Amino acid sequence: MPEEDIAFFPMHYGENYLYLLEVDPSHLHVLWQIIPEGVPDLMGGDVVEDPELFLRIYCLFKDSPAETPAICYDVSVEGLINTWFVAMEKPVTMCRAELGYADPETGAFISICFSNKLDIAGEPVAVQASAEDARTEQPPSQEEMKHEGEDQRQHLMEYITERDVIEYYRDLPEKTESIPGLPPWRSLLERYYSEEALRTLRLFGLFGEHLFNPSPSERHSSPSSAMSFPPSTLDPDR
Amino acid sequence: MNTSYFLLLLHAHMPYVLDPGAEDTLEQRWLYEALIDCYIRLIQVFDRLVRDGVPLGITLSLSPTLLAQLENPLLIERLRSYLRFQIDLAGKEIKRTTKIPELSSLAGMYRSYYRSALKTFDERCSGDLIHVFKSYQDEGILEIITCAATHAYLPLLRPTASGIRAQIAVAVKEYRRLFGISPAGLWLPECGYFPGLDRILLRAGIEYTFLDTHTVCDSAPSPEFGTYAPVVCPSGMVAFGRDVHSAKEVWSSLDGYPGDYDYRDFYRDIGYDLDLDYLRPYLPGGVRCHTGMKYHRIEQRGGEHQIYDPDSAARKVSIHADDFLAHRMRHARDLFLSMPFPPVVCAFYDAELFGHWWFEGPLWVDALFRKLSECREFFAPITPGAFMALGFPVQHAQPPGGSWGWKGYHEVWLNERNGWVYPHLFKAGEKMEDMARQDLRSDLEERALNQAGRELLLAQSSDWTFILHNQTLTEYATRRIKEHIGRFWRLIHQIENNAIDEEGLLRIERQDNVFPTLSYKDFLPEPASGHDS
Repeated sequence: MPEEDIAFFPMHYGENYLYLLEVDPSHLHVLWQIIPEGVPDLMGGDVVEDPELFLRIYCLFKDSPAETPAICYDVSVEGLINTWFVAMEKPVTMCRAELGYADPETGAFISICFSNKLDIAGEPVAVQASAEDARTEQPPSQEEMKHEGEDQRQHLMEYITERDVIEYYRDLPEKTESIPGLPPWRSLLERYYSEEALRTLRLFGLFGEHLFNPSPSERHSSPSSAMSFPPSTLDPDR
Repeated sequence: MNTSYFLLLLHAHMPYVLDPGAEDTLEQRWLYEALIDCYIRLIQVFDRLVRDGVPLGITLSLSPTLLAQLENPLLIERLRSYLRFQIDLAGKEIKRTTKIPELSSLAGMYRSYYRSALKTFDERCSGDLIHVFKSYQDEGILEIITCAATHAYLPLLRPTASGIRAQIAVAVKEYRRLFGISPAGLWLPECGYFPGLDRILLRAGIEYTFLDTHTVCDSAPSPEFGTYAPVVCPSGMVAFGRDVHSAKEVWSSLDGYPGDYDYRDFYRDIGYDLDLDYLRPYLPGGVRCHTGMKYHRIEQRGGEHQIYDPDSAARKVSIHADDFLAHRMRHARDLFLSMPFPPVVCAFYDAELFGHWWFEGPLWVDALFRKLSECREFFAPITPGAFMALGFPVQHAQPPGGSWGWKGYHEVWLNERNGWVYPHLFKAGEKMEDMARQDLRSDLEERALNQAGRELLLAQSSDWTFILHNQTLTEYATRRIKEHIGRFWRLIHQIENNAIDEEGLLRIERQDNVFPTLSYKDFLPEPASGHDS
């Protein structure tokens, strides 16, 4: 019976866990559970009343300098079972989280558990094809294409859009000449994509902030507002 | 060599909602309606186009959970009975509306509609839609691709990568079983991608997949031709990118074609308009819901809700097909003149939009391909495999993570409303990995562990977290997650205690009757490669 099956749905798992997930390039989501019985051992056998819990996040950023490849942030969190959104100041390429307590006397970080590692950036691309490469690989040239059938193409386009243009397409932008200094492809995109689309798509890195970058205020916490350590060379894989 | 290309992909998916213990539930009606309004109608459209010699080249993604239900004899019988039920309701409506000719005519239309669907299902398909789709693929009319086994949102399964591999491996095996060949392409559920996923797909034999516009355009380095040429990931996996304009014109809730006021209104339904006592025999559990009998067209802003006119809708279908094609061709022409090789304009849609939400959608597909056939010398339909075979240059780049969901990333499937699900998926995933490593002692243990694997995959379905996000049928989604995870741990408990309840196992196997090719070994962890997190 389904009710019998649901009775096997676990309320908890009897062990510590910490999972790290990516929400978007600037936000992480952390889920954890700590078994209270295990904490005094980690604290050297002393039971500490209401110890302060920290989430330590190790990350590599896209523009991390070679001498300090990894940075860690500590975010004050609470709850033995909880989830937390963490806003990053800038997009990360790789990260890992660690949950622990701060020693009340020394302030040292006492680790409880590590999360999985998130590789967000992927692999570098060894081969980069450009338009020039492509031109050397594939005939015909643009000139050839124009000669081969452009007249027919124009004719067909007019045929197809004749009634539609009259009724519906008054606002459709005509193809325009290239803007000097820009390759034709970018010029074309600038003509064809609306202002809104250019703003939102951030095509080719030319068009400003990313659409999908929600305000940090939408999130629960931010490293900039939390207790943070100065950047240091920490190994996220330790 | 003057041809630009148009790639239309329809993604068909339904979560596993069949319930052997209840014939008519709201969730099963989703499935019946999708079958009647979308899949059967698309077959009718394809048949007409093929009969009239119109060249097709459509990519169809069929999710493994949808396929599992399409082949289930229980569904086949229930669909027949539901169709007869609908024909009966339409007949009752014809009588009720005798004195209102406009409505009576529409009721008559619905009776013909359901009769035609039953005839197609019985006579054309012999109850076997998969066979019809397969025959289209064998004839080169469709290119059928697969999808993750239960439509899991893969970027959020990364802490237990074996779950991702199992989703892909089971999908590939099921595809082979049903279509006799290996799938070349895979639709990533919700276009959900993360760097490294391409390598997992490639290892499973998948050659190409599909990404949303911003995922392709934000790749590193920036692809020079945007979404109009495929991107090749460092692993060698090919990704086709969605054309933003094709998407907006059909999908946009404000400007998209389906919102035109000549089209039928999905939401206005006699299930909510008429007296409950009159409707009760036709409602699951006597509770109000959509019946499929809808008499109104979409409300004009500030206007009245007018009666639906199929002729006006048909005229608008033709206009919208013209509009779509003219925009695509004009765009493709300019791309063609600017690019050193022909562009491919990729349009991806959920198949369920066509017919279910957008009643006239299948007619639009019909009109679009008829018009496209008139100019195929310059703008031709093509499938991904056929395009790749042409050997045009590709763009090498690493796409970032992303999806086609709200805000473009993973937030729809991971937020305050549904985040609680993930630890349960990960803990079960870790346990499944452990169990897969062990030597099983008997066939019964193997059966039980295989079923535990099915339960885990079913719990991973993105449909449940999506429903929790939308706050629609949260009780149902929560129950489904808890049932599957509960069954998983129940079976694991029995295996570990050498106390498998065979009768109980049989009940669960009948309840969640999916993926006969699944093996617990699909969950074996892979030796660390450093790429999967």
